Amino acid sequence: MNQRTSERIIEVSLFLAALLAIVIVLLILLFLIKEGAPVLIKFGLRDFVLGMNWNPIAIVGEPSYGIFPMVVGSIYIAIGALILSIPFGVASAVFLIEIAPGWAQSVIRRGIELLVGIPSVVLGFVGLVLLVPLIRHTFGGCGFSILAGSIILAIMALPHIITISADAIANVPTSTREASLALGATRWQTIRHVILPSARSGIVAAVILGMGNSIGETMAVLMVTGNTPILPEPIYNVLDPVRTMTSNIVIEMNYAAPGDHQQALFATGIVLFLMVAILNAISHTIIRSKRVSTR
Amino acid sequence: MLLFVIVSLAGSGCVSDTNSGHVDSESMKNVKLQIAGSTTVLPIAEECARIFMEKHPGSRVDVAGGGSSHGIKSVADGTVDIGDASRDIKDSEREAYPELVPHAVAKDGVAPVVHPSNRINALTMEELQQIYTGEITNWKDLGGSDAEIVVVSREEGSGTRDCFESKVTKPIGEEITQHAIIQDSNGKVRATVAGNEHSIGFLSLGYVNHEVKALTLNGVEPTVETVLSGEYAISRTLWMITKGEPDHAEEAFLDFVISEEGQRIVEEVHFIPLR
Repeated sequence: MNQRTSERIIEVSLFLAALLAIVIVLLILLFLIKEGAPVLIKFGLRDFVLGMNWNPIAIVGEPSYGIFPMVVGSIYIAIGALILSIPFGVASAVFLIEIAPGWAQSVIRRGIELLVGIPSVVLGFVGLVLLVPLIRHTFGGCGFSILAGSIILAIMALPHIITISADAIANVPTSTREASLALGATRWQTIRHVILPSARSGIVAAVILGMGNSIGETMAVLMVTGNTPILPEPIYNVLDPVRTMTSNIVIEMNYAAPGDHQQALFATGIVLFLMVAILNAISHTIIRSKRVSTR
Repeated sequence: MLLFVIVSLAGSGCVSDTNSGHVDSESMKNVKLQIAGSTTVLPIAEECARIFMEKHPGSRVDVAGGGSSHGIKSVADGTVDIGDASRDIKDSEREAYPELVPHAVAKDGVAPVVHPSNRINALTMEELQQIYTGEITNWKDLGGSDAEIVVVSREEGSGTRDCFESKVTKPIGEEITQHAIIQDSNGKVRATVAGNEHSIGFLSLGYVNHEVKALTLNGVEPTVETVLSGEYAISRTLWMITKGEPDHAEEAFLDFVISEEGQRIVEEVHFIPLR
């Protein structure tokens, strides 16, 4: 009886601990909505998300709050980062698990850990001082660009993509590997036609998690993207500066006067939160999909 | 949240107990002052509050931001004792709150800066307006090299941007071009201009150094002297505002801000002392 009670107490406290995480997320969401909703109601969600003009302190006419160029900017930079980091990331993961000898594995893993340890501000500063001038001299434009933001983010996403993909590849059963080799497939054929397809869901999850992280990243990005609140011209010009949603919040929160301007920044946070939540949901669905459960 | 951090930062000055033996130290006990307003004035107010509290143990000066309009409104309706403003009191505000008394605490000038290798040394106000509204987009139109101008500006709400806008683009009723690169501090604007030979930016005068070249405007070089004399156009006065004549505690604090020591703080946080 006594033991039962103590077990019950432990169970309940563990449950409460688990509950805490959810409660915190809900409270943050509630706070965001409370702060941001008034401006969304005033100007309309549609006009806010799809509005083209961001001008919170207007000299001429009324202030306007449209974040569409920033939604596009965030997505552009995240996709650019993935295009740059996926090939390198997956290739490193394959090398790490399938090819590298033991000593190389540990050296590479250390290197990846170091990469995670670089503060984003440091990366941003390196980007501002080295990358931006390099892009300006090599490709033209002003240097502050989608490309610069994507490169910096790719460097930051790389370690995550490598480690999650490597885990997925390592989880492919040895028997599958051996069966392929026994059938006379070369090492490359095994990797290309057996291992990568088996690990696909894990790799896709790595990519989507990487994307979620990229969209949420701020400090490094805002130092190299120029932060202009307009769409690139032409729309596919990766050498044009853009502003991301996160940068918008960080840059203007310091001085935003209480009222519409500040609320609009919180509303930007709501839109960002929803986008990242959707990405996370997609990645969880993929992780839980049949392919993973059957391996 | 921000307010809480600021208050606790300002409050941390209470801990150190260095009685300087000021005459009025005793009478400053239990003095409580609330200050709010312009974020431009914030560093001056915070640092002065910290030193003031060290000098007068037992006193407490809480400093918060919120912007100039907020500062003026708060002091007028009595929520705070001193309101900070980085612009003059508007006519509409004077009408609504006739009892406000502004006290100048510092001056600030905003200088247009370019890369040191840029051939241009001087601009007229009209040229500066055309650059920042996006009408002139190539240096060759100003007698420079054939290269696109990279316009660098500050974020919406920044005090430096406000000063620049109110003296440059506001008089002609236009906005700063949306194509401008936005950086969120004087330091980053300077780094950006120093790193791009075709760029133009604007800096609070205290941040101008050898990495960039300040341009003369209508023939007037932006210096501490020309700002103080009023010759240089893009300048402003930073104010601390009281409701009616300052009471004993307010006067003690304001006196400290304009004292030699207070003005040294003004200089440390990159503004121009009154003398």
